[in-house]
Amino acid sequence: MMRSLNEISGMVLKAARGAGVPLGHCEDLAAAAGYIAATDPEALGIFGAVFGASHGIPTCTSQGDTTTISSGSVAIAGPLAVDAIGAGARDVRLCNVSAPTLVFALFAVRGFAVSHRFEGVDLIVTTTSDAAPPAPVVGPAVVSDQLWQTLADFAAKTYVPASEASRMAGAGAGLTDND
Amino acid sequence: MTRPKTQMKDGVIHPQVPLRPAETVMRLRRMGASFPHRLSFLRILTRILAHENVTVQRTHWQISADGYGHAVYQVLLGGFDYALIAVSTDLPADQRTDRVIATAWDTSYVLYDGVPSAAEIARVVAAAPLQEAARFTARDLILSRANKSVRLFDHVVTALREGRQPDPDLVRQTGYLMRTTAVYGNGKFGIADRGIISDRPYLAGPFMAEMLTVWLIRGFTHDLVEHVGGAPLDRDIKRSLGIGNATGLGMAPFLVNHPLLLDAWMQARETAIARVRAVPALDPALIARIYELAARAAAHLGEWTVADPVAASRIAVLRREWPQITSMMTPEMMTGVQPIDRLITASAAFSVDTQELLAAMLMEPFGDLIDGLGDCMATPYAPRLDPAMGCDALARLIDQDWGRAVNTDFDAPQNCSRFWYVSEEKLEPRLGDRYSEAGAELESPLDVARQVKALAVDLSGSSGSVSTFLQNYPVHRATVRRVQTLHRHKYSEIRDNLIGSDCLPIDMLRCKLSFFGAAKFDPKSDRWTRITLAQGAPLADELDNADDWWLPVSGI
Repeated sequence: MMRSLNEISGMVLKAARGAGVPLGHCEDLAAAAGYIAATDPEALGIFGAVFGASHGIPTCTSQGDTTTISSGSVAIAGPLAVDAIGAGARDVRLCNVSAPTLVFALFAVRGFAVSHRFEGVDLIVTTTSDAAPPAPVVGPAVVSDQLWQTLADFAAKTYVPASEASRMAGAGAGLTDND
Repeated sequence: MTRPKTQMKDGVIHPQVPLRPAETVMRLRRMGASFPHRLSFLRILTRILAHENVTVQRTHWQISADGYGHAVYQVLLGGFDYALIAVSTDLPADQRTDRVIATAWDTSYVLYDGVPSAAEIARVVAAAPLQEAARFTARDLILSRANKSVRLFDHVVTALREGRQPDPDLVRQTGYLMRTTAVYGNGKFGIADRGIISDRPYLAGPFMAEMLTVWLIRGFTHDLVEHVGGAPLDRDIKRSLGIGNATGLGMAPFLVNHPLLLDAWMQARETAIARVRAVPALDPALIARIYELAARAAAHLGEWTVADPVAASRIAVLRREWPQITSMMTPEMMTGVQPIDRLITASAAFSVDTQELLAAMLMEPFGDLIDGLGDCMATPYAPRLDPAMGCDALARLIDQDWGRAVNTDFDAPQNCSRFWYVSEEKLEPRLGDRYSEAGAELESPLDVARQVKALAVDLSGSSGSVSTFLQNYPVHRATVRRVQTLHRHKYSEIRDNLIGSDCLPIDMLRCKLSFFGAAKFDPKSDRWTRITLAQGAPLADELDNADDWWLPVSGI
């Protein structure tokens, strides 16, 4: 089904929260989802697997101007990789990264021009002096119903079941307005 | 007082006094005392419509004698065609609720991008009444719905059918024939992303498409009641009928989730106040204008009646204090040096409501000084993290800007008694009691102050860069971004604890609604309010006189 970019990024934000991803990372993933939707919507499918993974804290080490990020999910590692470049690292090695498309999108929405290469299962991202990536064209994107349902299922983990009390008082208004 | 000259994006350099500090302006109580002003979005819209000589054409009117069917209104703005497609349906009384849990409405609307074909009109007429249950397209810019004020709508119909005009008192009391219960933009349910219109002439400002929709809906409600009543309304009565709105908690998280936008709005308003305070002297025409506006404000307060006891008592204070404010406006004061600044300074002795009413009023005569600030109220940017910042610098920012948060004891029940959440039922935002209701473990992250305190605790003793800190504490990422953003954008945060027992969400609603141009706030609880928009605003054929309806007073 066709979805607006705001719907896509909003759903990814909620799904990430439901999947247990820390809020700040959810915000970055949502922005990246909008970018992917505008540039390569078929790649949105990565989010199902990303949110299905555990979200442990990666191990980060720095040597010289290279930061290495080992283990942990890309939902956590990706934004940390962007931070490392933003804090002055020249290269970031993401070990055994599962969704490089997401990493590239995170760098793009941050406005960083980077190049990349793979060494086995590791992704190495390097800053370049190229111009920042252009903003993607705005427009809706097709999202498969299956992916949408997967995301919606994660998002639903943040919803509180309604009770009669919450229905009556939680919103601060009554149930009819016939005046 | 110093009068530094500053230049905002409006490109003009004006003297101004220092802005009111964010620590004062961004308190919930003061935000909840906001009044509409000449930088409110609906005011900006009507100035644009006048400047562009916009005309509204009713191109379709397929409405039955009892008022059901559809209509289309067409406008050309900035070289683009837009159409309001309005659908009126027969709604059983037991289904009429302003809540988002509603599934049917009296009327529904789409602001369409272009001139709709017959097929597109048919599509929208079928989908719009379903609202959230339907899917829309990128040609649909705004989706809205409105319910009748049954009592007034029926009264007006009856009066017109009996060959008379409606009772002016009833018109004044209600102020609108219908109230919108949602005005959706930016991609909701498949409609166009804001990016599609954000660079178009006159729609780049915040909520401009929404305001255009609301203003057109108001015109439709006039046409509909005249059609069903079988006779025209007097022009003055019609102008006194704005468009209502019922708003709840769904609006509150917006201000938390859009810190840069909040900053842009408040920065523009506060800069406007700072500019008028710097005006060195008033000529007789300006003094007369201010006297006229002060009298209008008094009349408005006299017409503003609400049932809510807290709101009513605040209005009573306003009514009592306003004559004292106007009594300060002596000829000596008004012809003295920097009289606006002296008035605003003196108003500190009065209630917050009176202070904010005075500030809004004193902006009004100075369009040449402040209208350009309307161009500064949208922002394409999002908050950014600075990972290179040192932990020591971040800790200093917290010390400087978040003293209220870090000094709050969040173990004390009164400081965390509430939790915000999204109900599973139609995804309605709600507010719960942490100690008596289930679901607090799923709360929405509006506990900003508590998050900052938690960050401060973990930051204590940390060294190195923020980047390194966040590798160990990814849970603080969003909060670090907020702290850094607030330091650059002083009006981007509400300076109160949003989960405390004394937090009144309605204060957040009123602040946002005042920027829309809302007046006559009519709270139904601490988290729900009705308001009136566009009361006194020019009708579609009155746009040659579009800019004198601040705090409208019924002219009937």
